[in-house]
Amino acid sequence: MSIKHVSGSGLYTGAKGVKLWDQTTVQNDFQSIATVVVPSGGQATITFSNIPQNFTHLQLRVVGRCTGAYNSNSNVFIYFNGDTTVTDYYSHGFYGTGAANGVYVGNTPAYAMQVPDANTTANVFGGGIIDFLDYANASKNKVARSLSGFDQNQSPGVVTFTSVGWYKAGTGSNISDPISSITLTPQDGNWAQFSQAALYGIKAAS
Amino acid sequence: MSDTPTKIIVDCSTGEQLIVPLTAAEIAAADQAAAQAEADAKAAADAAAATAALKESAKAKLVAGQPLTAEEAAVLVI
Repeated sequence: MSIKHVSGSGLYTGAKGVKLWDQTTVQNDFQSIATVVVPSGGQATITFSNIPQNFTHLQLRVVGRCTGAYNSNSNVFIYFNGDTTVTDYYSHGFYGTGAANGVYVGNTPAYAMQVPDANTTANVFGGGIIDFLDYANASKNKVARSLSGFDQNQSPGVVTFTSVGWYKAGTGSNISDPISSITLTPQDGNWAQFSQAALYGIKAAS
Repeated sequence: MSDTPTKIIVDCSTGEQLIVPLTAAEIAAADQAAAQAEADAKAAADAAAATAALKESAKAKLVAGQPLTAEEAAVLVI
């Protein structure tokens, strides 16, 4: 039997029985929420506030560099909902520089990723992707995980794989509060000009 | 011109971007976080150096036929 007619209006209803695509409908399952590009002079922190709560997951894509000249690879701390108490977070991670590798774990500033600082080759920026799964679900404890890295054209670089848990101060238990703001703070000085952070929302199929 | 560091905030509901000075509390929190991270990194480096020194000492004693300390044995036996 040949198909005589398909109505485009009902193709994306969320019903599992409707799986045809009219080749024009955009489902918007991965949407840009906001993007920040650091202006001249740099910025100490980047904050996304009033994050919409109607997505299933969030993803931050960061291309960054910082202005301090300390350790070459600078940690980037992450904070949720304005909670900057370092002991409210726990992070685990692996890192490798080519010359050395190791792990970090602790009830310390939450390391979201690493970016090059001013001790690295000029104009080298690092990239990182941070996922926040079920960020708006008040029944689940809040965690994030990330991949990041940079390379200095054969000079040492770094790669990291990190997870972050958000805890209630003094209780040792995770926080299930929906994430409504995210702040990124480099350890070594400010975010350098042209650093960019882009926040995306991801919708799961209903 | 003020030397107070600033932060950039984007309101995801409106798209508006603001640049505002950090508060004294925010500066203190950033300083504390950086100091804690430095302390953590130093502690990790010190621990790695101590382990390496124990391994070197243990290897030298093994070659010389001398008894190992408990700490030296621990770094050689997984």
